[in-house]
Order: sequence, then structure tokens, then C-alpha cells
Amino acid sequence: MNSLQLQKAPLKTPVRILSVHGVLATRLRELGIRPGVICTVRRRALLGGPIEVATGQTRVAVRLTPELQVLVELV
Amino acid sequence: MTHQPKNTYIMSGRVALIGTPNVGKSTLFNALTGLNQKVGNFPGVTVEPWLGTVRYNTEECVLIDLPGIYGFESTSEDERLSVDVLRGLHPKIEQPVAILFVLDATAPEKSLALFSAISTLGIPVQIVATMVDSVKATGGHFDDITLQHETGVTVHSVVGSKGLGIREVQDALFDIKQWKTPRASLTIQSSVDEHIHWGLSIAEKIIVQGEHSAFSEKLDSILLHPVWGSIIFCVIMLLFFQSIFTWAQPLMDGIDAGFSMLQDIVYSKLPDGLLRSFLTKGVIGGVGSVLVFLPQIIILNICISVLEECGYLARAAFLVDRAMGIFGLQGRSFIPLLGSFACAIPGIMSARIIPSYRDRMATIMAAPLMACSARLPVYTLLIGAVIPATAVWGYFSVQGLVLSGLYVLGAVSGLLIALALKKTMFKGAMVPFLMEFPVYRAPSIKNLWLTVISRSRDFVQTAGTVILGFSIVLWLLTELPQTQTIPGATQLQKEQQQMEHSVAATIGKSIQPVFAPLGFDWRLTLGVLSSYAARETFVSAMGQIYAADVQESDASLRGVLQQKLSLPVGLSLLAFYVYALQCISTMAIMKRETGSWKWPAIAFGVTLVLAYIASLLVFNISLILS
Repeated sequence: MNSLQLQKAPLKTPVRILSVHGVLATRLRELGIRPGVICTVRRRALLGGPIEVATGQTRVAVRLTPELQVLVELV
Repeated sequence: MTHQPKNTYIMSGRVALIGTPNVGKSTLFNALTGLNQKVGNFPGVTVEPWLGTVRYNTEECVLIDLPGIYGFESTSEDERLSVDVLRGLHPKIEQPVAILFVLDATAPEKSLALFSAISTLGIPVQIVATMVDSVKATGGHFDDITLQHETGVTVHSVVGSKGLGIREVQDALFDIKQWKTPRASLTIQSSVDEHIHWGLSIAEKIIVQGEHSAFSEKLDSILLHPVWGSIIFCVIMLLFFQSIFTWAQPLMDGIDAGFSMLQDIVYSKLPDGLLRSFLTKGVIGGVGSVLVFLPQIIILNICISVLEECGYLARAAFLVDRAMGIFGLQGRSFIPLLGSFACAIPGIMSARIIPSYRDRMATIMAAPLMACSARLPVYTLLIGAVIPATAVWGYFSVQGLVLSGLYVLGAVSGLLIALALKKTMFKGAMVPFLMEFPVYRAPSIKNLWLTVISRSRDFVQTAGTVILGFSIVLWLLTELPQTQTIPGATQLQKEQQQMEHSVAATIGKSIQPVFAPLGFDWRLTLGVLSSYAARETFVSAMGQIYAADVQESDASLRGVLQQKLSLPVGLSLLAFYVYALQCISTMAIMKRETGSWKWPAIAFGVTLVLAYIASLLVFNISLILS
């Protein structure tokens, strides 16, 4: 299975999270973005800004950078 | 507030109110305590939590409202406070005797992971479940009985904004002995992932999720749309600033007329002399000229509270994150900076939500350049005096546009200072932007009212103490020494002569050469100097200095200034006020939040130099142009 970075995942398509690493990784896990969970990228802000990720009832705005990486696979 | 002596109450101890962010914790806090709340004043504590009191006959229970957290691993200053207090590690605030745990029924797994961490503390807990109504509204089901069985503690369901279930929680606060300590399935050594796991396993048993709020989804697809969302954001910001100027005007005119009437009555009832001068100029003139701006302060605070409560601020942070990145900041910095338009003090304090020390410092240094509500009186007076009230495109006035321009100038300059700091002193890797979107909610009127009342109270208190004090000192300086009047002189000539030879004039004239290149005469110099106590003092100082002219011509202060101020001088003054950091309270809060006088000192020096240069440029350019 090919893994890709969450911010590069196609919009509004369910993906399974493989790993969460870097600064604020714990906070992301507490917010429900953790390995095994299915989530979708709902939208991207303009010009490489943050993305909005949905899992369950939670909506998280996050800017993924080399310091904070989330790897996912298509399901 | 009651004024009974403290010892007639029996303290039932301190109960901490805690929950994850955006669970309606502050709505609950307001519903429980009403107006009986204040910022906790713990000596030596940098981050101050709110304290509220619930009374029942002669008993009182002190509630401490701690910033929201997700677990015991804190990522910012405000979270650190909560964790330290709960674990009993805080040097100044004692560990609470009981915990009122706020649980978000729409997303219980997050709340329960935190609950799991809290249950390792061995402190009695009761759970208050909020948003149970939203779960039901979206077709879901929340099982509070199972939650009670699984945790071993009492669960209350409330709708804080409507006050449902609040009475039961208040009653429980006076019966803490009955509270149970939760059954801890994990220990203090357990990892975050273990707590998350436990939370998930319980959440599965107690909740059947409904659909995600279709309304929120729909609103997001418009408000966060790359094109429409950005346009709407700009329109909201424009309306925000226009409303402050336009809607407040009738109210301000009313207050202004009221104070003039009071002044006239006192003037006509009292004989000529020092007492009359003291009351009309020193007291009524001084305080009245500042209180006129209360409507603007109220409207500004309503706007910011509404934006925050309905959930738009977090979205705005998402929209502007990229743009803030240009200045080396991130989306979260937008919230303290927007708050600084009301007042830099709460703005600088809310910078605690920024996880990175460097971003936080850069934001704090930029905050004093956001045009706070104390600048507004000065801007309004000067714009009214030198800018014509012509309308463009129907709704917008030239005055309103100039005002918006001043706000933009301040904001951009502040951001450039932040950028300069991030490139030099606070160089380092970016901490990524990360924020949870709350569900859209209609703002609670009660919450709005409480926020606006407490902010306005602060403003009126400043007007009643600092500004009244300065007004009286300035009045003394203008009345001393008493000059002998030439027989046959009119009242106006007498008063003008008194002013010309007063101590105040001497001070103004001796410092005036410093400000001469900016076009300020000794009167304006005196005004600018006095506003180093508080910016609004400029207005009351002008009111006193020109009191004779105002009295004589029966016009408003603005009307008199229209004749006395030329356009270049007016613009030069405006430029000065955009930059200058003239607020002792802001400097004190900067010291407290950064832990050193170094930062307020740097901010003071840099802004003074910028103010002088900007003023010099504006004055000379507009002289050439006119």
C-alpha cells in the first residue's frame, strides 16, 4: 500500500492514518488524529495554508510542515 | 455584590472547573456564578485564572475557572497553569478540594481521555455534561446512567445558555462531602495513548452519534471557501470597524449633550470663581470628554465577543494563517491581535494560547500597535476636527475610511515589528498551526452582557480614577498662578489670559521645541504629554485647554478644534498616536507576561522613535501637498 502525506491526500476522500510524528503530535492524537483512524481532508486554505481534517464529530485545522507529519493511506 | 463581613460566610473550599477547550465551560461558569466573578489575584502568578463565587444562604463556594486542556501534557502557558494547579504542583495556587468536570456530550471521547487523566489524582469529581441538547437535536443519544456506572461519579446534564440543570449543580457545590472519587483504571504514570484508549472505550458505550451538524457543514463550506470565505472575512472586518464609528455616533452625541447641559447648569448656578472652574472644567469636562466614548467601547467589545462565541474566530485564524506566515506568525496570533483592538491588556494576556515562545513574544510586541479602544477617542476627536464629513458610495464616510486607514497602518506596522523580531531575536523553526474548530453556536446574550459589563466597568473605572486625577492636576496647573485681570476684559479674554500665563503653559512651552518639527504648539504638546498617563487623557486635556473657547462659542470641543487645527497638524498628531505606546497598564502587563522590564522598555523606545519619525514625515509631506 502506498503511503502519502495527509496534506497531499485528495479532498473529501476517506484515508486511514498510519503514523503521526513531530511537534504537537500528542495534541493531534488527543484530538482524534491517531494511527488507525479514518479521516478526510475537508478543505485546504489558499496558497499552501492549513488544511481542515475531519474525524467523527471533530474538525481540526492544522498546518502540516516537516516538523509535524501525518502519513496516511487510501482506503 | 454584598458588603457583609467575610467571616459570616462558611468557606466550602475551592472547586476547580475544568474541561477540554470549547465545551461551553465559560458559559457554565457564567451561569453558575453570574456577576460574582473576578480575575483571581494570586500574588506572583503570571497566568491568572478567573474566580467565581456561588452563594447559598450563608455559605459560599469559590469556583476556579481553569483554561481548557486535553490532557496533562501542556503545549502552552495557559494549559500549563491548569495542569500544575490540578496536580498540586503550582507554587501559589493550592490544589482544589474537588473538581467539576465539564464533558462535551457531542465528543465524549476527547473529554473522557482527559477525565481518565484527572481520575488518577484521587480528588472527588462530579461531571457536568454540556451540549446534550445538540446530541439529541442531531438524532443521537447520550447515556448518562452508563457514564455514571463506568466512572463511579455523579453526572449532571445541563444546557448552560438556557440555565437548565444549573440549580442542581449549584446545590451539589454545597454538598462536596457527598462527591465521590472516580474509579481510576489507570495511574499517573500511564501514557497519553492509554488515556485516549480508555476514553474511546467508554465513549462507545455512552454515545450514539447523530449526524454532524448539517448547519455547521453548510456554513463552513461558505465561510471557509477559498474565494467567498476570504471576501466575507474582509467584509466582516470592514463592517466591524465601520460599525464602531457609525453606530456609536447617535449615542455619543447624546452623552456629549448631557454633559454639556450639566456643565451649563453648574456654570449658571455657581458664582464666578475657583469652585465653578473646578467643577465645570476639572471634573465634568475632564470625565465627560472621556465617558463620551463608552458607546464605542461597548460596540467594539460586543463585536469581538460575538465573533469569538459563535465560533468564527477559530475559522478566521484558519483563513489568515497563511497571511500571518508572511510576518513570521501563525493563525493563532490573530486572536490576541484582534483582541488588542479592544484593549492591548486582554490581547497580550490571550497570547498565552500560542504554543511557541518565540511566536508568543513576537505577538506580544506587535499587540500595542493594534489601535486599542483608548486610541479611538483621540482618533475620533481629531478626525472629526480635520477631515471633512463627506460621504462616498452612500454608506461609507471619508472619516470612516480615514479611521480604517489608521487601524490598517497600526496593524501592518505591528506585524512588521513582529516580522523583524522573528528574523532577528526570535529566530527559529515554526511551530505548526493547530486548532480545533468549535461547532457554530448562537452567542448567549447573558454571556455577552457579562463580558461587556465587565469591560465597560474597567473603562469607567479608569475614567473615574486615573483620568479624573489627571484632569484635576491639569486643572490646577492651568489655574496657577492666578493672574490679575485687566479691568474691562471679557470673560473669554480673562480665561485665555489665565491659560497663557499658567504653569501648564510654561511646561508646554518649555517642551514644545522638541515637538515643534511635528507641528505641535505648546497646547498640543501638553496634550501629548498628558496622554502618557492614559491615551484618552489627551481628549480631556484638550477639553480643559480649550474650555474657554468652547464656553464662548457654544460649540463642541470638536467644533473649536476644527478652527484651531490645520490639516497637516491634525494628520501629524494622528500619525503620532498610531505608533506611540502611551499606556502604563499595557507596559505593566508586558512586564508580567514576559517576565522582564526589558520588553516593555524596548517597545516603549521603538514606538516613540517610530511615532516621531512618522509624525515628522506626515507633517512635512502634507505641508508640501497643501
